[in-house]
This record gives sequence, structure tokens and C-alpha cells, in this order.
Amino acid sequence: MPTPIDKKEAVERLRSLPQVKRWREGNYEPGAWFTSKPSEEGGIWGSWGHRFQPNRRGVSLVELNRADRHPIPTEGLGLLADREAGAEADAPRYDYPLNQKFQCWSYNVESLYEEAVSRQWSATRDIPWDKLAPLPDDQERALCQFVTFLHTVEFVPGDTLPYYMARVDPSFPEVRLFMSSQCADEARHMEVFGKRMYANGGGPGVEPGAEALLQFDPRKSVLPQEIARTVSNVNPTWDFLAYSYFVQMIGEAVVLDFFRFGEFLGRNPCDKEMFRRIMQDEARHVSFGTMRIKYYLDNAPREEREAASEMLHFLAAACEASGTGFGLLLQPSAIEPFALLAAGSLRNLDKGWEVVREFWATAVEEYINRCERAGIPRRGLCMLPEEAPF
Amino acid sequence: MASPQRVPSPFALPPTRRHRPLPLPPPEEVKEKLYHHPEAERIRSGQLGEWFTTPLVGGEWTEWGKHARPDRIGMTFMAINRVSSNPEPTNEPARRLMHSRYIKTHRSISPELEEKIAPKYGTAREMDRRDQVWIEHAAELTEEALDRQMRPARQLRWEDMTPLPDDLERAFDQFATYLIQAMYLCSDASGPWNGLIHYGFAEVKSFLAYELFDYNLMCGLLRKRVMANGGGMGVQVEGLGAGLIDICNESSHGFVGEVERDFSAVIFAIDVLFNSIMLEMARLAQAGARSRFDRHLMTQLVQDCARHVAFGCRRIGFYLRNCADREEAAVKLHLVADQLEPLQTEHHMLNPKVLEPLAIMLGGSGAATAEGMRVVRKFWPQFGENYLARLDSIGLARRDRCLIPAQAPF
Repeated sequence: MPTPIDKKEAVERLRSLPQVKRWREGNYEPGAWFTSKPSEEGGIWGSWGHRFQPNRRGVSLVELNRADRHPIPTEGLGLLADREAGAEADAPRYDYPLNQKFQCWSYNVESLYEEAVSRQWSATRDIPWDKLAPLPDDQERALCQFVTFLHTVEFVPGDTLPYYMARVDPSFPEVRLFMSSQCADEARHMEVFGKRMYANGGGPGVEPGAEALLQFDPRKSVLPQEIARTVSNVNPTWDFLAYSYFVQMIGEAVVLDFFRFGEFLGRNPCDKEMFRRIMQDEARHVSFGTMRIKYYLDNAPREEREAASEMLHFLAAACEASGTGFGLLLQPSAIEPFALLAAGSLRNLDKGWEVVREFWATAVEEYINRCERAGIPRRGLCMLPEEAPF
Repeated sequence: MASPQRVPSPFALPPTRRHRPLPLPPPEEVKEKLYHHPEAERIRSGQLGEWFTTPLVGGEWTEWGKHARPDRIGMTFMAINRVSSNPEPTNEPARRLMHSRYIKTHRSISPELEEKIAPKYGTAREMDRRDQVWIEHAAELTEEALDRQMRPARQLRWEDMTPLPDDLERAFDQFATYLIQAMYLCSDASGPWNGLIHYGFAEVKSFLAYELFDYNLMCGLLRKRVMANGGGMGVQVEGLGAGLIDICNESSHGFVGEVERDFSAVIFAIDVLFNSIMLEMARLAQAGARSRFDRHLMTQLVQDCARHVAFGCRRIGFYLRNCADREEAAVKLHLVADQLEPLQTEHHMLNPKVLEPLAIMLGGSGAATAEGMRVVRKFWPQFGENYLARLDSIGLARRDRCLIPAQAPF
């Protein structure tokens, strides 16, 4: 247990610091930070002479970076401050685990971040809660079950992204900033779904996942358990590339596909607005993940690119087979309410399932297209049936 | 010249691993099994699951017939908590991982199965006790966090950004570089903890997510400001995380292993102490800002820091009032403060790369640093006094042992 320093002693120690002594002597001449040249001229100051005329969009990172005479480095500088900051010559350099640009950058990260900032919204104020209209009981029940499910899963990225943020070298602030915006988005989604559960007479539904769990039969499992385990339970020990594939490219993409069918889900301006706003947010997250994987595969050294590609194809095949991500399409708490919402009433449930089958085919096709965009072509390899298995 | 020493990144985090490809069954087998998936079979049979068949009252449906009304702000957490049967988390240990307190747990899941599906460590079940996580008026503070979140598109007038003389531009840029570094420290230190907090504490999880975004949003704005007004990024501030990094790493154990982690120490270090210092620095910078735009940025930062400090104080206050052994908890927090206060005073509050640019801003020019330092000296007692007043309100009296000097040591 450290012994508390005596107060007097502490003050004396502070008074003897070189800068404090200097100040006490009336010498307020600022240190080298004030007089040094920028680092490109051999000094410790970061960089100088950056000007940007704000336009009607203000100052966006896209344009700011374009105007910057210094390109974004391929390797992080290992400082604790942003890119282009300087440091004392003897300052240590920090080995952030994600310190290569290819490991964390996404082609569109700057514009996605700007969009994220400009489209922040409030679950409390920006949803027209007063425009909620009573729904038939079966529809309210379906919607509440669907949002009950979403309420519990929306925070998953918010639980894990901060680990990756702290691993990214601060030379790539845009990546950190975008991920922080995603954390705020996910919190808001959890909130808005929680609020919707209580807003229109339905209330929270049945514990999502319980029925699937109770029905689970390992003999019927699509994948051997040792493989199924490796691709479930996303957690912060996953390789960042695998994480982006799993969370941003599959999980959120399937949710996004659900929201694209918002016309079926939203029966009044309130619900429509809720799904519309969330869809915009999710689209950003998916785009970041997809373009991040592409950037990685386009820019990693050849050997790493090959290893990463092999890992991604394995992960993709395992996720497709186990239904991870796509498990939502066979998750009773998600797909059944979705079908009922699409049907509009219980007596039209068959029509609802027709919509779901169409939805399945669209979601698989979208997924395969997305994989192609990311540089992991899955056409012809995809384990998922193109048509719904029901 | 020797190349700089390489050291691990400041905050200890679990190592990552890459998935090793394993042989998979052929696609035909997968498709066949998916066809016979229990859900696929049920859909073909035209039935719906338990969510639809369970009675709305007395069955597995959580709460039917609840009707929250928006209050004067909108549909707030307060509005739904007024009608929910679970308006606050309880002290019952969590039995699931991703599970909100608003939703009833299914009665048919046995305790054995619960143990299997919800491991305690490294998951959101690690912190599932009120004394570890909760605060009073959590809903109100979370709503405020969202409501006051900066909306740069609406609130910032970039056209008010004014070219400054080189000495003032350099001072502002150096101060902004310090702030960016400080907020990255806060973001990196506290962010991963959110994943260990149970979903029953929805308001706290939301607050922490917004806090994380506050830090980064402000970093982005400061970067833009610095890179657009004729200057550029300044010099990294060595030692800024003194004490703080060690305390956070000791408390988290690198987020590895089945050990008790100490969130309260981190909240004390980041939200109560570090944000308190940033808050006072931002107040001074607000006074010294030389353009409307810069002042506006600092005003926003003051608001953000004040909110984070308020959260920290409420969290620690709740912890001390509700933990099993208040005395032991207070001793531990005093030790954290004993360690942090002298190091943060030396490396943060008396850091020339922080104080000198501030003094130049306050003095109005590089030639008037002495005048600026006089202002800092006059203001100095507020650093300690405001911090101690907060600790008094928490119930952690440190007036007789605080190691932040009451008067400026210069």
C-alpha cells in the first residue's frame, strides 16, 4: 500500500520542478513548443500553415484531408496525439496493435463520419411519438416482439468497439471517430427500441432467444460444435478484420435488410420514422465494415492479404453455415413477428411468409454482392441457400 | 541520434487472435440441415412460436397493456420507467448476458443452462450489481447527455473562425493538441468497461456510450479547427496520463482473466479527477479564447466535462452509499486519489505544454505570458476547491489530505 505523501512535502516537490522554479523567478518565456520549427523542418512542433476555407458544409474531414499537403501515413507514428502532432526527440513511441493504415482504414471513413455527425438524432425528441396510432393486437404484439429482440442485440457493437478504438494508432483519428459515432448510434437504437416497447400498449414481449435455446438440439446442429463455437460469441479478442466481417458486414447488414422492409414494419409515421432513421445509421456501419475489408485486402502486403483472405473465406463459410448473422432469418423472435407484420393480419400470414421468402432471397443476394464489393467473392461458394429453406 | 524507445500502447487490452481455418461440411449438407432446422419446419407447418401463443397475462409475455406517454421533453427513459414494472435495476444477479431488465426471463430455462449460456467473466455479466454501476437519477442524466450532445451542423458557425496572429494561433493549437490527447486517454481508458456492464443498466450504458462519443466528437472538432486556421497540430504532452494509466490498468487487469475489476477506481480517475482538471482548464481557455468560434468550442467542452464530472460524482456517491463495506471502499478511493493528485498536478496542471499556451491565450499575446500566468495563479485555488467540494458532496472528505496545492506553487 503506497504511503500518502505529506502535503508539505508534495508542495515542496512541486516548487522544485524546473519549470515552476523558472516561473517563480519571473521567467515566463515559453518552452520549445512555442519556438520550435515543425517536424518536417526538424523541430518538435507538429505541422504548420494549414488553411481551409469553410464552405457551406463547414469543415469536413474529406475536404480537409484532401487539402492537406501531408498524405495520411501508411504506418502510425505511435504518438498519443493526433496525426501530424510533434513530439520531443526522446519521447517514446507507442506500439498500438493496429498501427498500419491497411489494418484499420476504410475507403469512405471520412465521409461516413461526417454523415454520422450530421445525422445524429434523439430517440426522445426526433421520433413523432404523438403520431403513434393503436394497432390491432396481433400487429402490436408482433412489433413489440420484434423490437424486444432488437432492444437486446443493438448494444453488442457498443460493448466491443471501444476495445478496437483503443487499439488504433491515433495517427488515424478518422477511424476512432467513426467507431465512437457507431457506439452512440447503437446506444440510441437500444433506447428507441426500449421506448417503442412501452409506447403503444404492447409492452416488452417474450425473452428473445429463449425458445431457440430450449429447442436447441446439438445433433441437428449444422456445424460441428468446435467450429460453431469459434464463430459465435463475438468478443474483443477477435482479430479486427474478423470482427468487422462478423458484426458490421453480416450482423448489421441483415438487420439493415430487415429495416429496408420498413414499409411492412412501420404502420404509422412514428414507426416508419424510427425504422428509417435506424436504417440510415445501420447503412453507415455496414458500409464502413465492407469498405474496411476491401481496403485491407487491397493494401495489405501480399502474404498477409492471402492469409487474411483465407481466414475471411473460412469465417464467411462458417457464418453462412451456422446461420450466424443469418440466424436472424431463422430466429423465431425476429422472423415470425416480421412475417406477421408483413402480412398485416394473422389471416394473411401466408402472404407474410411470401414476403419473408422474397426477403431471404434479397438478403442473400445483397450479402453476396457485398462480399464481392469487399473483395471476398462468395458467389458459387456461399453455404446459404439462395431460396428460403421454408 | 538513437531512435525513440518503443513501448506498448498505454492501456492494457486482451490480445487478439485470428480464426484458424478448419474443414467445413459440404454446402449440400449445410443446405439439407437448414431445410430441417426446427424453425424452418415450424414455418412450413404454418405455426407461430411461443411469443405468439403464450398468454399475454400470466404467461411468458413480459408486460402487456403498458402505455408510456411522452413527457414535456419527449419519450424519455423517465416516461417508460413510470409505466415499467422494472423502473430500476435490482440487486438480483443477472442470469443472462444480453438481457434488458425490462424483459422477463423465461421460466423454463434451468439454472444449469443459465450457467452455460452466461459466463460471468469477460462479459456483460461482470458488473451486474447496483453498487458497481448504478447512479441516482440515471434516466435524467442520460437524457441530458443525449439532449446536450453537440450538433456541429446546427451549432457551429465555422464562418466565425477568425485568423489569429501566429503566437495566439500556436497557443490555441498547442492547447487543442493537449485536449485531444487528454480526451483520447479518457476514451481509451473508459470505453472498454461498457462491455462489462450488464444490460439491465441501460441508462448507464447509454450514458457511457454518449460520453465516449463526446470525447471523440470534440477531438474531431478540435482537429478541424487546428488544421483549418493557419496553424497545425502542436507537440504531444508527455506524462499527461501520469498515474491515470497505471490505475486504469491495475483496475482492469488488462481485461483478461477471472478476477474482480475495479470500475470505481476508473470512474474516480477519469470522470471525477481528470475531467475536473479538464473542466477547469476549459473554463480558463473559454475566457482566453480569442474568437467567438474558439470560445464556443470551449463552452461546449466545459458543458461536456461538467456532465462527465457529474456522472462520476453520482457514481462514486452511489457506490459509497451502497457498497458492502463503505470504509474499505473509501480507503481504496483515497489511495487512488493519493496516487493521482500529485502526479496529475505535476504532469498535467503544471505541465508547460498545457499551462504556457493557456497563459498566452489569457494574456493575449506571446509577449504577455506573464499576465496570463497571473490569471492562472489567481484562478488556481479553484482547481482544488471545486474538486474538494465535489468530493465533499460524494462523501469522500479529502480536505485534510488532498495533494493538489491550494495555492499555485509558482
